[in-house]
Amino acid sequence: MKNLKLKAARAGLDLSQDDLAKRVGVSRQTISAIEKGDYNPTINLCIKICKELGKTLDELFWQED
Amino acid sequence: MNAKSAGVLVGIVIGLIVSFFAIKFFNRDGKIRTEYDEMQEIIRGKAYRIAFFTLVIALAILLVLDIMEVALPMTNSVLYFGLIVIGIAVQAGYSILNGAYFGLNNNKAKFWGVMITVTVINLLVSIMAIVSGRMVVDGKLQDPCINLLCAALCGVIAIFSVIPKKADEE
Repeated sequence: MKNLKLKAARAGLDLSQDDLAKRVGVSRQTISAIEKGDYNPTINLCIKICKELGKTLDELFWQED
Repeated sequence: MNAKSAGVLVGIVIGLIVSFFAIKFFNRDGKIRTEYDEMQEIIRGKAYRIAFFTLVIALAILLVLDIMEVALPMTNSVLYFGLIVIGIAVQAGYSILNGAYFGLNNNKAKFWGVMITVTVINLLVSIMAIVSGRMVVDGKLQDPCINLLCAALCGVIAIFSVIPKKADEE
């Protein structure tokens, strides 16, 4: 399932995938895969992304039913 | 050990030393170790697994051919190097297609330059061997074919690393 909340939060801060990837120490392809729903990140990476985007885990990664 | 074997051994040792420094050259931070993120580590693990089973199948086919006493039209050196090329090609191909070949500290431009240089040098050596008639002797591929295999492997990796892939989509 696509993570549109992550994509929206990133775009809201005017960050490219590459910018966010560099800030959290991963490749751009990994950020792309998370947004497309092709890869489920570890909790450590989720926390790093949340901190960079100023969001909580629920706001970015909780899937509504 | 004859002169030819000694020459090959020296060549392998020099190749290993050059490769060691080439890795430092490829990395932006000058470190030997290439760093990968968590998704890349998983993909690379899968790539090694696929390459491993590919080699097992290739060796099983060779075993069957050997039992059936089928003589392959190549020297043992070419055969062994061919197997190495198959393993590397599968591992590298899968990693490249899934965005896990280049690490976080790799310099892609330098890597591409070195791969093209290695391809061209090996291709020239291969062409010289073909022209001088050393590539095929008595219907068997000879050791200069290793250069051709090396050129093909590096050339394919260099081309694959620059063409757009699904993993690169934004």
